[in-house]
Amino acid sequence: MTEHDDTPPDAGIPVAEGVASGIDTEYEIGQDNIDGQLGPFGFDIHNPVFLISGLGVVAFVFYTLALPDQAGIVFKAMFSFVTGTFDWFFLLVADFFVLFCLFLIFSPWGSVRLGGSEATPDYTYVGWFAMLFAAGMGIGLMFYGVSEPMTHFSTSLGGTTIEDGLRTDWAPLGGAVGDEAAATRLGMAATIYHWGLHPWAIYAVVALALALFSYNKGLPLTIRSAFYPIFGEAVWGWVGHVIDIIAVIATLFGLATSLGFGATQANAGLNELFGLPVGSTTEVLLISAITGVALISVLRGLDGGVKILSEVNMGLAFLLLFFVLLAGPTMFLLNNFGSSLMAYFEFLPALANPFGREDTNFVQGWTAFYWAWWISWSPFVGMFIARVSRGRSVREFLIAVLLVPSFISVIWFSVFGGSALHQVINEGYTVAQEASLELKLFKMLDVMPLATVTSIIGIVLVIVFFVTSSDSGSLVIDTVTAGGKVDAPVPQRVFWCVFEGAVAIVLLLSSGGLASLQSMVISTGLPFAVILVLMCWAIMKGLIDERAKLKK
Amino acid sequence: MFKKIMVPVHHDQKEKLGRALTVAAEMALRYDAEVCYVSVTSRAPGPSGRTPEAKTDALAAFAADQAQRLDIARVSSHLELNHDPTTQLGAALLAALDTVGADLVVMASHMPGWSDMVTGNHGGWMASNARCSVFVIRD
Repeated sequence: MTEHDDTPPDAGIPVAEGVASGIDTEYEIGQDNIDGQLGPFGFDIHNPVFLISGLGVVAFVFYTLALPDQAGIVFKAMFSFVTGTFDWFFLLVADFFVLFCLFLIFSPWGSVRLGGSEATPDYTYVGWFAMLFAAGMGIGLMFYGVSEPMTHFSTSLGGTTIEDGLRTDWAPLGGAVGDEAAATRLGMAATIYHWGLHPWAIYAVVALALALFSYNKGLPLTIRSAFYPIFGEAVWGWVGHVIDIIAVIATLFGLATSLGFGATQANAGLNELFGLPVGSTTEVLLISAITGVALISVLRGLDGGVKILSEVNMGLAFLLLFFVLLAGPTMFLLNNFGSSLMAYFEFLPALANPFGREDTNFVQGWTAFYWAWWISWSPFVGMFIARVSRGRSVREFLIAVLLVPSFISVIWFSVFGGSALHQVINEGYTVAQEASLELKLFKMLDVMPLATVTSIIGIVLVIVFFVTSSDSGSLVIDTVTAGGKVDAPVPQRVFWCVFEGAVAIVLLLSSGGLASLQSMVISTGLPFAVILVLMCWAIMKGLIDERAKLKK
Repeated sequence: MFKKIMVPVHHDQKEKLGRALTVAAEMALRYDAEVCYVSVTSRAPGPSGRTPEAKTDALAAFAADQAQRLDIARVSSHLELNHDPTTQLGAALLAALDTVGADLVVMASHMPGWSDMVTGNHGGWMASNARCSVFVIRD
């Protein structure tokens, strides 16, 4: 018995700040934890989540290394099955999440405050917003900002081809054969569809569920808490263990694979700029350097590390955005912003329609792929967003997590994509169009003034976005594997951060390991998609309960 | 000589503090000083409480219990809320020291579970950074 256990059990359990309606559970946070000392390092870990997650990761890595061909085939088959068979399901649930979030913004339940009616926000708008963005999709903007509008433009322009009654082209919807203006609009609309409301609605649902059940209901800050309304007390047993373990493994592999691919891409950029050799030696050095910086950030903590890096990166990203806007065809870009937004709303119903689609390749290869990807990332991003969002009202939270990032994405893609499209259509410069994915951004910046400076900023952005993913990921994994304790000893965070870098290096050095494990991670999007729908129900139940208490 | 003694306690593992608590109590008796128990914690639910209020109450109850057990005349408590207690403990303790206005800190050299090779020991850190006297108790 600890001394605080001697205090009467009613020593203030629910009553958050002001009014909140807590959940009464027998579970005591940290009751399944083992803590102790291993040499000079203290630890405080959840039994069995920590151990099984760690060993599970090692087992998967061994499997991919020992039987690379079989693993590749199994994971890829799983992936094509998931995105090929359930494409309609992904589209349908993502639409539902957007509508659900929009409904909550305008509903009376939007006024419920995360952390109790009198709670005050932990972070200022700038710091909060920078962290939301860096964790959510920072890195994607760097790589797809130029390439995705360009790809959709090209395929749309190419029009449709039909073989044996099936479309074999990759154009979105019906394409726009030979019509450059229409192809631009369709390309921009399709890109914004993939980076706008839908991905953020997915994150918002997970983050809202976790924040609500932790800050208002008093459950530990870990994925299983969002399932309390569904499974009841069983979430503290194996049901919950399995949920947390899957979330940890998906997060760790998601981070490790993107770290591996990120290193490949940063390597290509550095080769382009400074002639650094492309190869596994450089890539391993890059992963080690990124992990090293992430480690410093992890040791400095949430405020001293992640937050500062996120703010620096947001500043740099805006700088680059304004530079491209001013140095590029400014009037064209401003027009493009307006027309892209219009095009988005015009094509949204058709793009978001889950049934009877003819553009199979586009729906399965792009949309379903993205949705599964966002969903498999949602435990990580959602948990991180929840961690920094205490004190916001549901309405404020959803506006900031859903509408503001979507709006910024529209600006970003219309400026970067627009500049590249302008180069192709009006200037006849097609180098960026033909370059490989990781080089498109740099090739586009190449023909603008100060190309060296902007390319360096680009590479710094890429690297720092990876650092912020890596350290916020370590923070999230650490909290989950410590049973929801946010103050577990530092060596645990260090462990996860280093482990993640090591997994990335091992996979990078194996042939095809990265790609096959990424397929596996994205495949976890399917079970999570079902889980997310249940989460919406749990959120609704929790909010109704919360507001009823507030009215009393 | 001393009017208010600040005693940092780990909010979840108060039983492991050992001699620091006894020393603080004895000094309070000797100088007729008030003992203020300070705990650094996040707003997220934890073992000692699921809300900041519950954690505050738990700490106050701990202080009352200490007063009774060790015969201390005047006790108080202060919960210092921090986003990331693991890494910002030192700074948070300094902030708490400012808030409670103590003129002596009595603390264990290594807070259980907090210490490790990377972050060093907080007792030593406080001794070099606090503006008042710091009594570091080695366990």
